[in-house]
Amino acid sequence: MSRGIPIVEEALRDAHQCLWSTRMTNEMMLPVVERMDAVGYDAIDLIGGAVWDVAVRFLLEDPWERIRHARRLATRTPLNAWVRGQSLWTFEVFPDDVVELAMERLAANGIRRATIYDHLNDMDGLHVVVGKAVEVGLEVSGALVFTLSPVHTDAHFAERAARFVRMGATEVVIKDPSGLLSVERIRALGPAVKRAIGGAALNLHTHCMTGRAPDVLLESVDHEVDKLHCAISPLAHAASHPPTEWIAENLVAKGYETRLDAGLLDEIADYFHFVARRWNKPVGAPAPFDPRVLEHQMPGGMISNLTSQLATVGLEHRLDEVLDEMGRVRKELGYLPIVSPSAQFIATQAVLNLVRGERYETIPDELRKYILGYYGCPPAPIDQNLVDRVAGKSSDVVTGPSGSHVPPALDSIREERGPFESDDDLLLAAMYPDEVLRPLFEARATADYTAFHHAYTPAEYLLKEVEARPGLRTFEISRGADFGVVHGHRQSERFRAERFRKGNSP
Amino acid sequence: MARGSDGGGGDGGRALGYTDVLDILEIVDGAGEECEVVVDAGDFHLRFVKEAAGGPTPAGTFGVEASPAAAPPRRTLP
Repeated sequence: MSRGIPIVEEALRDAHQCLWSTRMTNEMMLPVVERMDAVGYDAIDLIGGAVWDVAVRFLLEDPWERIRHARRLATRTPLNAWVRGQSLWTFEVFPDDVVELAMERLAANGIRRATIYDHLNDMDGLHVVVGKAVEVGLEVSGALVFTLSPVHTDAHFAERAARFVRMGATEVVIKDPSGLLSVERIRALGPAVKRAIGGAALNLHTHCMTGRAPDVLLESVDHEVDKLHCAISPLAHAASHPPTEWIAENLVAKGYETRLDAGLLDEIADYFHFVARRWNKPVGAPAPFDPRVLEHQMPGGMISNLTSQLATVGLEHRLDEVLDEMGRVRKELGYLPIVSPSAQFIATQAVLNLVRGERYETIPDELRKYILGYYGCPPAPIDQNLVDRVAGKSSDVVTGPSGSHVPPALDSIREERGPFESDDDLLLAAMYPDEVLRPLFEARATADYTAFHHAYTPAEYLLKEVEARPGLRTFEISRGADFGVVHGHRQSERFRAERFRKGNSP
Repeated sequence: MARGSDGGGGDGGRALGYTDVLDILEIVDGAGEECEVVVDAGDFHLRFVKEAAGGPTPAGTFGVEASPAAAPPRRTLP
């Protein structure tokens, strides 16, 4: 019997983060969740740092509500939330009481799987969040951020993967945010990590920006990778993930099985093509191989942000210098993985070094905290000259888990900003100031997302749009010999629907 | 992979898709007033008649400026 390869669908989380600037709204996603639930996915990814933050700040959609509505529609398939360790879904380091309550509320609202990682792969910083997630019954998937550096060897990842399993994770994810993995590297890395995690499932989550990801995914299943992360085709490619349908078909061609319903995948792809056209969003296109990404290692969204930010200060012509300086800064900072928030630390410092003329003349506060140890243990030692420059005295440098340096916060937030309607609102208050939450709560008070629960058919959508066009005197629709799709739909005097036999023209 | 009975038109024909609907609506919106438009979309046959006293006639239609007495222009979606 062929080995089955489960697929995790990224359309509702990472894919629109990569292609649509994280601007997929509840109105766009909820009508298709029921169908996604029936496809046979291993999990549907729903929540992550950028998705959470954009929902709160820009879409004015409460992410807790998104989880609850999606859970009502996805009754079989686990919904997944990525959790950035003690930072949860922002760049701030939160105290343990906030992190623990967040895990409780994830589970209570309907998330079944938590994919947890630390941006430095600092395992000491993950005990609290992983421990609590396991305690409240979440399936824990431990993610390791893949990057290229002299210290990020296969053994580096294998040792940390084993620690995830010892903490209680049942799955491990190799998270490759810039698509750096090659076919050759996964042939070695897959077996190395799998040996370290035993029976836990090994997932591969890689992006298409170098053009390598489809090949790497297909190769990986021959080398101990158990599950693949993909995105439905309109939301695939470029900075996003390999297309679900293409990967599934090629897995079958290689002799593997998937449990995916290809007909439903076609419907879901058609739906997201429709969403893209209706809301003027781009559809992903295959990216050619780009070796420059292997040098700067920047995720796609970040390189475009950096370019536009340089343009605002008239420095767009110095992009190559900035990228070279980023390489130097990254080495001096201990080879941070290029992922949020460390990627922002590196890029900001590189620009400052070039603009100021003297390197490290100005160091942002967040980077100072990182250098002093408040974000946890870096992958390699930080350049001592840099530590000396930031630390007034050696006692300024701290060690230990990042959460241990932050005092408990929930009681004081309740006292100073409460009362709150719920613990979900309390957590939002822990993450955001009142001026951010006020418009969110105002929008929430009048929003009715149940209107988007209905998985409307194309014919229903057509009828609704036709009814909204008063200039149409007559509208008739028929389907071959059968009129099932619109059967039972309310018919008005203006718009009559008639049955025609197949082959008859109306 | 399996192809479900509800997936791509279970009776063997091509079902109406979401993107078909957007194509159809573009055709309808682009048609001139007092025009009759017939669209074949997969298994579906659609017929629209636009009123004369409606809003302004959009330009760039696909040859649907014919008089009401003429045979309706017919479009078949791919």
